Amino acid sequence: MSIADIILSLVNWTFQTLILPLMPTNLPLLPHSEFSDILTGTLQHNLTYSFAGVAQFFNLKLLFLLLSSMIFGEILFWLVRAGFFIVKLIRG
Amino acid sequence: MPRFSLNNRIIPLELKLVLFVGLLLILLLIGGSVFGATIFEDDFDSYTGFFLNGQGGWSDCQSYASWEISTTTTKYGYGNSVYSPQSVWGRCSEKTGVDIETGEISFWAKVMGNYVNYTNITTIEISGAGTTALWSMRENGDVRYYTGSMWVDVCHVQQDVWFWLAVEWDSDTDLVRYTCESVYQNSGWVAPIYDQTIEYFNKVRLLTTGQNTTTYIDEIEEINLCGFYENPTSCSDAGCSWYYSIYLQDYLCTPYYSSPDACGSFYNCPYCVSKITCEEQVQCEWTDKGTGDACYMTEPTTPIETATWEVPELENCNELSGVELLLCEIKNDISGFFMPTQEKIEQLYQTFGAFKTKFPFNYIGSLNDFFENISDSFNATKTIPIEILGKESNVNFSFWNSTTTIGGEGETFKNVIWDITTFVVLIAWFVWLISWVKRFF
Repeated sequence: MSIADIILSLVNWTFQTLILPLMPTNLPLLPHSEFSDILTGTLQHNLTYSFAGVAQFFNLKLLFLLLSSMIFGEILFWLVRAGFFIVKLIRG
Repeated sequence: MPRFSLNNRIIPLELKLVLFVGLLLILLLIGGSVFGATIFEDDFDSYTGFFLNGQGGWSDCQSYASWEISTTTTKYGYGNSVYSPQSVWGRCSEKTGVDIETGEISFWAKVMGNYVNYTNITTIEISGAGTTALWSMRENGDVRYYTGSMWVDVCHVQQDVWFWLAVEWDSDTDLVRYTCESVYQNSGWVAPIYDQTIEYFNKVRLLTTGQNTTTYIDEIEEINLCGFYENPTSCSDAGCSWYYSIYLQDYLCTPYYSSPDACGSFYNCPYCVSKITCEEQVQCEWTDKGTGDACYMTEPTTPIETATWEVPELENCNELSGVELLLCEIKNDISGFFMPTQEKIEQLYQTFGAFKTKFPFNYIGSLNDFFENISDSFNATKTIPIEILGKESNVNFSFWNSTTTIGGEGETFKNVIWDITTFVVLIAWFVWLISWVKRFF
């Protein structure tokens, strides 16, 4: 066993026994299986059919790209404002 | 508050009432399970061809055409059902089974309605020795029984949705009871029609008069009174399914579900009440989690991580000799000292892969998969079924591909609409962009 194996064994053991067991798998109110089933079940089915219909009229990829850019732009704007605020705060 | 003394103990009236009703239910259940029997059971799954009559003991009646076999619209999404199509006036099929003095029989049915003409009636007659119990389903959703002089509504069902209806009869009391939708909606015990002395029932007749709707019948079987069981043990003993409904936030014991959310819709595993129907659904498994066999959603599985990086092989020294061989072996020894084995690398990948099953990474992963699937669906072509005035069809966008000439160039209607909406979307986005940039000045 090489020294690399020993280090990797130590890393594996640390994660497997000290970190992973402490991390929760499910949220109490919404277990992951239900969350996943909601997303991949009726919701996805209905959205798929809806988009298949709406996509006849709109370029959905472009629409969502622009919407994403707007969301990103708004976040960027508020981050810049937050930056200026902090600078002003520090400068007094 | 009135109270009664029993053996020097004060028992509230409410508790007594609960005990009485509970005792009544237990007696009813015991009675049902002891004396319960049915004329015959039929799921129609083994039948072939178009017509029901002539198969499985079903025969002609009242000079009408036979009910037909449906392979596409069935209660559990597989096998067959029978239906009376709207195109032909009058359908009749009947089958004689075993003489049952005290028994019960249930059906699954679905009515495709036409609200314009309330002239279509489908009846289910359960008869024998001059006595008849008569169920009626109208295309407006009324489900009613016949007293001999008038029709009485028991429940009102949605069109195009499977619902459950049943008849129980008792030759000791000469009474019948009609139940539909759930065990809690029933007529109470009432007299049958014609000869009101029940000797036995042995025949089922499916009869449709009128031609304004299509009616389906499936899964003729003995009644299962699962709905009365209120704990997992009695529910499981009765052969029912005890499960937790995430929709009702409560445990239930019943196979009776006629809502659109029933087993067969997407991923509604808890509504599946048999192993066969359960395992036909995606992401459902039939297993025992401590309350008896039931249908549960499978835990999402994350594929085992495999290492994408392979440990490089050491230099081959076999072809070398002398000092070169010595140096090569020393080099290999030093490299090997720091070189991990592929097995350890795999373990490391699997360890990090295990994080994907932990919160919040598993939730994020599911969201990611969801958006990827939705994104893929943008290019999908789906058939959207519609029903207008009882007529079923699909939304048809074929006119999109009709070509028109714009500026001398042939363009499909779809491209024209698509480009206009794209232009409008871009303009709206530029308006937002200008206002966004202006905020900085």
